[in-house]
This record gives sequence, C-alpha cells and structure tokens, in this order.
Amino acid sequence: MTNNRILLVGDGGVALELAEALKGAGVDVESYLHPGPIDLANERPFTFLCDEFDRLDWLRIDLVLLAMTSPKEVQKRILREIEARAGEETTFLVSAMSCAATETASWLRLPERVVGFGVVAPVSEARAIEVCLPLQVKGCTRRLDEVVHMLGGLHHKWVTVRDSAGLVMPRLVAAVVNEAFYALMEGAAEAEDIDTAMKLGTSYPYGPLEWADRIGLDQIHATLCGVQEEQGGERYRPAPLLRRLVLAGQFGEASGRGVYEHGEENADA
Amino acid sequence: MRKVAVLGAGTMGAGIAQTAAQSGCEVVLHDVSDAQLAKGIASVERGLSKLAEKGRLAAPVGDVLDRVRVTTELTALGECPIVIEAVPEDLALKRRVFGQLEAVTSAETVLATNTSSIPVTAIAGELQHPERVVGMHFFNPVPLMQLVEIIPGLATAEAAVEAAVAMAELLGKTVVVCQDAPGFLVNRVARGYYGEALRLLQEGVADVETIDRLARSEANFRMGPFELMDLIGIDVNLAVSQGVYRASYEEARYKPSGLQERMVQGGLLGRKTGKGFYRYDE
Repeated sequence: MTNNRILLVGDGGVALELAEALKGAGVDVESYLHPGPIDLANERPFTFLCDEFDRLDWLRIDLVLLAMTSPKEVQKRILREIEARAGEETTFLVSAMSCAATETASWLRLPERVVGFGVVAPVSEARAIEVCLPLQVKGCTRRLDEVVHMLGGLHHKWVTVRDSAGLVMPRLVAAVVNEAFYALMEGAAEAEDIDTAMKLGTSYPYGPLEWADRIGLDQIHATLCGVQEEQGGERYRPAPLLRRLVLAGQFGEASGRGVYEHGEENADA
Repeated sequence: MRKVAVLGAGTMGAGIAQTAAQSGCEVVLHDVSDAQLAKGIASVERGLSKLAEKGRLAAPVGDVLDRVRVTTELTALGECPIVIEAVPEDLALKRRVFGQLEAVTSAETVLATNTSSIPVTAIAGELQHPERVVGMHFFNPVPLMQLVEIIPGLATAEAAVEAAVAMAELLGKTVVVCQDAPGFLVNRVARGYYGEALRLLQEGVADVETIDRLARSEANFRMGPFELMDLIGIDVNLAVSQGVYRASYEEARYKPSGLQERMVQGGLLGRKTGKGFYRYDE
C-alpha cells in the first residue's frame, strides 16, 4: 500500500456514480467505464482495455475496483487480464451484486486478494456500502481493512455481511423492482401509478420503477440473474419486460431511456 | 353536502368515517354491534381531537363529530349514494353483507369495498347489479395515509369507478386505479420487501438489526423490513403473504416464510404482543 491509486473498471450506473464519488473524495482514480454490459463476442472492448492496461503503471495501483453487470465470462476475462499485470499486493474490490465474491475469487490465481461490495443507487444518497469476504480468505480481514482505509474519503459507512450473490439490499431492492416490472407488464397499473402507490401506500423512498431507472435496469437484471443462478428455482426469474428492456439497451437514466424518458441520449456513445 | 355510509366500525371503518367527516361529508356509520359502534365513534373523536390540538381541524371537534350518525339498522344506509364496506376480511361475510345492501339500496347506489385481499369480482359475483361494486382500498391509519387504490372488478361499470375516484378525491386522497389481481398493487409489490428480508435472515447473510439498518441507511427506506413487520403484526403480514400466494396459484415469488409462520404459532406477533423480531416488553 503505497500510492493509494485506484483502477476502476465498470459498465453501469453504479460504476459511473462510484467514479464521481471517488473523484469528489479526492481519491486518485483511473476509470474505464463502458456504457452498458459488454458482449463476450465483441472483441473491441477487450482489445481496447488490454492496450490501456499495458500502458498503466501497475506499481502505483493499490486497488482494483470492478463494478460490472456484464456476463460472468466477460468479467472473468477482464479480471484475469488485470491479474496478469497487477502486483501481488494489489487488492481487488469486486461487485458482489450479481455474483458472490467467492465465485469471482475462484477465477483468480490469488483469490485471497478479493473483497466483495454492494450498494443500492443512488450512491450519493446511500449512507452505507456493504462489503463481504470470499470464503477463500478464511476470515482474514487484512484486505478489507485496506479497502476501508483507501476509500475512507467516501462518506459511507462500511457494513460487513456474509458473502452471497446480491448481498442484502441490492437483492432485496431487485426483488421489489422485479415485482413492479411484472405488475407493469401485466397491465396491473400505469408505471407512474405503481410508483405513486409504493411511495404513498407504504412510504418507499422512491417508486420502484423510477428507482430501477436510477439504479440501471442492467444492474437489476444482472442481480436477479446472479441470485437466480446461485439459488436456483423460479423465484428470481426476471420479469420478461425487464429482460426485453435490457436487450433493447434501455437501461434507465444512464442511457436516456428506461421505464421513463430521461432526455439526453448517450447510450450509443 | 355529500352523504356517505360506512359499514363496519372497526379500525378501518372508523378511520374512513373520520376522514369523511373532516372532509365535510355527512356520514352514516353502521355496525351490527352497539359496543363496536361505541368504540368506533370514540376512536373518531380521539382522532379528531388530536388533529384539533395540532390546529389541523377546520371546524370544532363537536361540529365534525355531529356529522357522523351511528346506526345498527341497515335500512338507514339506503339514502346514501355511496356505501363503503369495511367489515372483516371474509369472503362469505362480505358476500352476505353485499346481498343485504342490495336489498336496502337502489340499483344506482355505488357499493365500495375496502377489502385489501379479496377479489372485488368475487365479492360482486352473486349480486344482481355487480356493475356498481368497486374496490376502494384505504391504508391504515386512514386519516394519515394519502393513498387509495381503486379497483374495478370484471363487471364494474365506469360510472362506479368514477364515483369512487371522486369520493376518494373529496376525502383528499391520491388515487391509483389498479387491476383486480392478488394483493392489488401495494400489497403485491411490497411482498418482496418482507419475503426477501426473511430469506436473507434465514440464509444467514445478515441478522435482523443489520438488515434493518442497511434498509434505512443504504437504501433510505423509512423503516427496515423487520421493524415494519413488527409494527404491522407478524400474523397480519403472514396472512397477506399466504393470501397472495394462494390466490396466485403458488407463484414462487410470493412463497411465505416458514420462520414467520413459526413466530405466529409461538405468539410472537410484534409490537402488539411485546415480542416479535425485537422485544418491546422490557
């Protein structure tokens, strides 16, 4: 731990928000943000990232932060490219919002370097971030302590939970949002009415559909798929409408359109 | 002045009667039991007095209270253009009550049901004029909660929906119109908040306090799922979950939690028994 420089690789709204929050906290962060999930069959992002990685001064990078909603094979490939270049002391803070940290760690040569995290957007309004340790670290908290130290500039409290796909609030909010998408798909009510009902009928902080647009439909979908893969069964099956919106690239605020229209269109960037 | 009849003087009925009276309506509050009527009207008076103390009641408490007439005679409801039923959640009971209402009201009287879990279509199914039956789901406590779900059943006429919407708006509420589907909107979408929290607890991902704290501090919910279940009542919450699960032919997303059922069996019902996910009796 020498320079406290962070490499952030991400593809969704959470990564975008984390990049802003880290810069705001005065953290030295190098960000690579892809607009939306990366397709495994598309070589361009990988070629681009590998070229960039080759140019980085890895001795200065203490922490790699991976916040992706892309398919696991994509995340695995990127993480392995990073591990091939990073020093052994570099800690990997990876999103456990769609895949347990234990599973992510299993892809690496040094799984003990992994710490998982999860947070529900909007990150700026959250006052806590969840962290978890993969089983491979056998209870050693050194890497977690380093993460908390390096990201101490953020205003969030770090709360440790047990490792599992989706952790606590990302999974819980995804379940609520998924139900709202089923209700919308089935015509149970209009989108605005579903949001109004949950805010006024049970004091939710945001309507579930406007919340989904803020979090990113890609993130919600990735969380549901990840939890479904770990748990099995029908309970976490994403609403077909949610799946179709993600396939259409309508991720929410980040892409200019999700359940609602958001004006600026930058999904094609 | 608008006239409205409220059937059933329990918590919801009294809350609806109070809200209607303070909105300027003339209210006929009916219950089969004199004792329940006395409790209901006392609850209306308490609610009005609290508002008056905070300076949020436009007229003196006595004047508002005078707008509520209590009765055990169903025939007294006949003169009201709209009846809001708030008797216990039991389909056989509600069907019987609506059958009786049909006998004492004109075919144009709008018959609204404050059911939270029974299909409006089922309540109206056996009536001669099911087209004037509409769901009007208020939330507890009625005077404070801003939302009313308006639910047309399969046979409900547009005029009945419009009358229910107008009534809810007269009471100062925000209306959402939703389908006659299990749990309507709020109870349906909220199932995940409780069900997923119970699963996370059972899987050992985090304990009760941590999940509640994260709900408040990470996701900005006003209350965590467990403290909220304790407030609602573990038995009430389980009954809603079971109802939605059964009505959906056992959709996996609504599967109730065995842990919750165990708590009900053990008498740990939340705040009302002093013990639930937290203790309140120490």
